[in-house]
Amino acid sequence: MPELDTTPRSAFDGLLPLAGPHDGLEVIDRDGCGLATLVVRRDARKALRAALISQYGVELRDGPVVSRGARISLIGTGADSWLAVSAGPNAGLYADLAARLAGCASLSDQSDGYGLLGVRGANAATVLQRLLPIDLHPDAFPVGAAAATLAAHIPLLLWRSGEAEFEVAVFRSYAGSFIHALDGAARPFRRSAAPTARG
Amino acid sequence: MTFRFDGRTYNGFAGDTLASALLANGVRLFGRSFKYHRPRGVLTAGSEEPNALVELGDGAWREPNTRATVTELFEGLSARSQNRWPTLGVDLGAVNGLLAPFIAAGFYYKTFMWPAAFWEKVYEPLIRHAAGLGRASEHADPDDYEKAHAFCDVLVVGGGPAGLAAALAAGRSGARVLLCDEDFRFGGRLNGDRCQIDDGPGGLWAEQAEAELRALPNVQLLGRTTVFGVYDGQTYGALERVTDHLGAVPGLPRQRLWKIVARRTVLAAGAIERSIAFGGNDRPGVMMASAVRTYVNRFGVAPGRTGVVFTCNDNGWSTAFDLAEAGLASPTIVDARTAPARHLLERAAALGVRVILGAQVVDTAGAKALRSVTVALGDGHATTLPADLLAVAGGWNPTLALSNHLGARPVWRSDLEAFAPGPLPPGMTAAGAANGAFTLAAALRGGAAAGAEAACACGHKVVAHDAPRADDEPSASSALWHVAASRAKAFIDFQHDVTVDDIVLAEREGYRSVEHLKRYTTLGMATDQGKMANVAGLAIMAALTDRSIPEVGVTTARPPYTPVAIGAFGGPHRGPAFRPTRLTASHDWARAQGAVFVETGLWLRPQWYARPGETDWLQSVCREVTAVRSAVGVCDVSTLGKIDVQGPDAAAFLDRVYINTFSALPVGKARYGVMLRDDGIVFDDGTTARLGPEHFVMTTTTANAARVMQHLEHARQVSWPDLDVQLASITEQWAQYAVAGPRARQLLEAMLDDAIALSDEAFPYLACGEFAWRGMTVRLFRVSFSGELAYELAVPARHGRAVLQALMQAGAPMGVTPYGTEALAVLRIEKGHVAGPELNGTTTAADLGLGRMMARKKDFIGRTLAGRPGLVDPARPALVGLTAVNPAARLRSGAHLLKTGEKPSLEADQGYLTSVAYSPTLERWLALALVAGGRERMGERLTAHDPLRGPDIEVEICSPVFVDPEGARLHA
Amino acid sequence: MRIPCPFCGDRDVSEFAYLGDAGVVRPFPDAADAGERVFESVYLRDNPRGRHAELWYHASGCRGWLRVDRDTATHEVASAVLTRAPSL
Ligand SMILES: [Zn+2]
Repeated sequence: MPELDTTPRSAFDGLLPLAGPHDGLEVIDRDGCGLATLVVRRDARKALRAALISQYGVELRDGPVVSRGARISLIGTGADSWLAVSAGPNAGLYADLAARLAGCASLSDQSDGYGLLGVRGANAATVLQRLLPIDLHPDAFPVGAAAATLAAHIPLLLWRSGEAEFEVAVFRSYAGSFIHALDGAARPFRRSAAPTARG
Repeated sequence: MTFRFDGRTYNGFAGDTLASALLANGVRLFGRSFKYHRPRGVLTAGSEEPNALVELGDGAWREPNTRATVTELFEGLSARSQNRWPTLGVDLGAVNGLLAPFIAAGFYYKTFMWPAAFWEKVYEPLIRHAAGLGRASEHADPDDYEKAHAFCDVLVVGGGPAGLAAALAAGRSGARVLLCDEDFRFGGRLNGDRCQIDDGPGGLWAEQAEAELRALPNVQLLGRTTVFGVYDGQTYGALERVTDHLGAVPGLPRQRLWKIVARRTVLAAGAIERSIAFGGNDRPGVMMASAVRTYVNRFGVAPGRTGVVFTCNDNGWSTAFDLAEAGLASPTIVDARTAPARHLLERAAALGVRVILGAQVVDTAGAKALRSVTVALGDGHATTLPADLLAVAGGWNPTLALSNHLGARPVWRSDLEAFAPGPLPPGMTAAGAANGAFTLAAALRGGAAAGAEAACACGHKVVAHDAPRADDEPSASSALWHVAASRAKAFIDFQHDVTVDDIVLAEREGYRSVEHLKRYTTLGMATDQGKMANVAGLAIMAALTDRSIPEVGVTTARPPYTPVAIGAFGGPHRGPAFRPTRLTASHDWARAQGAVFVETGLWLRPQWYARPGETDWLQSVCREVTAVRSAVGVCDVSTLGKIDVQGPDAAAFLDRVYINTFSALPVGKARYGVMLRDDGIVFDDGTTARLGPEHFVMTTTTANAARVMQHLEHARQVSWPDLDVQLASITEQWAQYAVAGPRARQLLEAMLDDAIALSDEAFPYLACGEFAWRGMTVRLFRVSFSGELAYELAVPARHGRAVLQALMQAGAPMGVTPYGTEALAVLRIEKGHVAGPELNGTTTAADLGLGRMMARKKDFIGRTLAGRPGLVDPARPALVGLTAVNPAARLRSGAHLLKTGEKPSLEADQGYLTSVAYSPTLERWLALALVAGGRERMGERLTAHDPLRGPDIEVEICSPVFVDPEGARLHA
Repeated sequence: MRIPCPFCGDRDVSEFAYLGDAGVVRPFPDAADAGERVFESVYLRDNPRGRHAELWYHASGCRGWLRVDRDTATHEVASAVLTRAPSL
């Protein structure tokens, strides 16, 4: 029987922390959270809403927004689809959802499919705005807003969990390229950089 | 600050431009002109400058055609003049000036016509040597560039009086305002003109306005930022020069390219003063009147000691007044008009300014700088005035480029004798001089109103504020384009050396439409896009053809407004970061094993694993193929697209997208499937496994993964929205490894313990299953691309690398070998499996020998058109195998096939080789080929013809399955 | 150009893939004239100057297929709706 190193490997192993420190910016690896794609079946939206309330206490919202619960949150990714994210580390999220939501939604485990980052700090929005082709002003992208979009040609999911807190889910294979792009956007806020760059 | 120009060191001050600093140092000669190599100086103080173009920087940093008038001075700046040889003072190219009658408009077209053979050898090198101003660096751009996105309610383009007033009005209402100005100092003409706003100097008002705007949290100011383009959807391109004024700063980009989306835009880009075409109007020392004011008032530079102002409007008089008040030798005003307003005459008299009315400058003199000006007086006489400075005030043209970028044409306003904005791009309003409001009071009023209106349109309440107050200064004007009495060259387009005579010639030769005029004379085609030239050229053509200016037409301005470095458009996406790279979970492991990678779309895949001592890729590939055929190999196939297809109608859905039937596939089984496009041509292939009654996992080729997803979503959302089926891409969730070879089962049994029974009975060919192993969920598929006993093992991606290492460890006793995409290709060619070169967008399922897979009793995408006569013609090229008759001969993919003895021609073409490999198993080169009616031609000999790479080779047609045609290995 | 995705909101055109005429209806395959009609639906598409109903795919967003009413001369988008109504 071969040895198997079952240490979970984050998508961002060896890529974080960013070369810093930065003013008003912190990027954290949220590896370990359970992730799953959830697509509602035909004529099953009501049943899904009911199941999510009874099973998880989450009120499902339509649109590109976060439906927040104590154990899981659902990120609106499409007209019929969400990304379920556990509040903390949870390797069993997919199995749990599949069992509790059987019949009203199709589920796919994505816990290894995405790398999950927390982008925090007073300059988080400014740094992300450099990269993102969507408006991150609090009026346009308030707390609880979500978006599927592209940054530096890299597809990603983004949602705002606080005034100065964003979560970013990037497909695992793009982790290195995304960190490279994020590092570039954050460079003006590196403490060693000249102050003239804070435009 | 010290800086260098043409090797000499000079001193300047912070806040200077290169032009103002050189003028302050007494430098008048900045460069030589494009065609005639005439001496040129500074004409303007802005981005419209056509003359004072220099090379900036050295080596890789060398940037040609940089306008000295907008180049901010910094310590150590190094610049050189252009288009002179050997030196600026002594320029041999100036002989072109003597040849001038022969280099008129259309010269190239007429002279370099024939003989044709001369074109390449003589004419083109000659033109290339003579053409162009500066020299581009031949090195890679060494600077860093950034890209950024911005969104706002109100974008204000231009930070002059109108722009500042607009930004204040909108900003005070709470609207999100972005104010961009190309200058490094906000204020626009307020920096260069003496004026009063709210009882204080205009410059002070600009400073206070800027300070108020900076204090507003909803306002962002971008100085040194040119909005260079307007695009659809209220999208704007802007270039911010981040460190151009600092020299290289580590950690900071040189420039930043902004993509701005604005709900409303106020175009407050000002106006450009126009010249007058008179003889010698290009001599160093001839300058626009407004530029003279800027150099005097803003930079404290005396551009000359003896000044003449040549004007046809009131505005020009202020230049003479400013010169006089600055204590510079009393200037002379030459006004083409006979009766200007009395208060102008009174002020001139008070300041001791000499006035000559009803007169025109007809010529200038001076070798490398202006010495004197010849004036034709109203009474027919002429007089020569000594002058080292001639300020020209020909009126103003609103800066309209941005209003035209989406195709709208400006309108002629006869009250202004200028083009003003016509229909504007959606969301844009124009204000101030850009809108034809040429006085300060009108600019402030118009700006404030436009800013307030834009903020209102975005839903903000505008609070009434006292508008900034200024008096309307005298602004009477009478257009003067051309001094007809001039004999010497009168320039229209300074940068391209287009003169009035060139336009006369164009008219005489019939090039009268604006587009013909432009191309025949190159008017407006230089790097400044004719900012100063176009309207004057139209006016002269109008006069020649007895039409009005708008009847002649307008030329279209296109982005960028001022030149933008290609590097800025690329931004950080260059070199290895040109596009994102996708890496599989075991990428680092493969690299450590000596893998050589190949790009497949965005993915990097191991192509082969070079072992120490291997000198050649073929050696490595043959070793890997042999290991798979004789023992066992492992290949990372994580990059294949994987799509979860779920729901009650999942099976019915697959029946419609694949040519073969999936509804009959039992749970726990996989099947090879082929998809067609609507037109009946093969689109993609792969295996799809049924994990549950309502759950299939589809695999796609690596290259087509995203396109297949789009195709499936189209089927689901557009074609059959009633089907209850759900799709999710799970490519990234699973790391997947092909384990292939006679010892594959042995390896997996050692690896997977008792997690699953793998005997042929328990887990036969095309079986699939999902099970728990060592705390993780894994999936196993018995599928084979190589023709060997083979499996694909899918594991959660985070464990991919560890699982691959465990496979290597478990397989070590069996001789396990990692193999790359090259070996994968050899194995599939040996087995006759099709891949990208055969699924090339021209082949049908039948062409590829897969015609019998097409179900007859169901509808599927592409079915109807796959039955078109042209696609079922038995003479169509069909997939066959080929071997060289001489076993040592090397085949080449892409070679075409001919009947033996036939001459190569399109008609004689029998087909071509799609995929070629050296087979270590058969010890010879093999090929797959598409051959006309090929399946009926087994055993026939043809000639493979590839004149680029080698001699003709005799080949024999055979079955495409070279190895194990009975499938004994597959089913072992 | 920007397209107002009914799910995601206003987005840059670079996030979308274009397919063309949204008026094309996939013909019933067993109809007598199916061949001719499929041929028409695949090859003979309208491409007018001016208002046009088009199919766009929000590839880098919500993955929705949209029916976009667009002016091909000015690139102004009058409306965009999902081709498949969200599941009830
Ligand atoms: Zn969308």
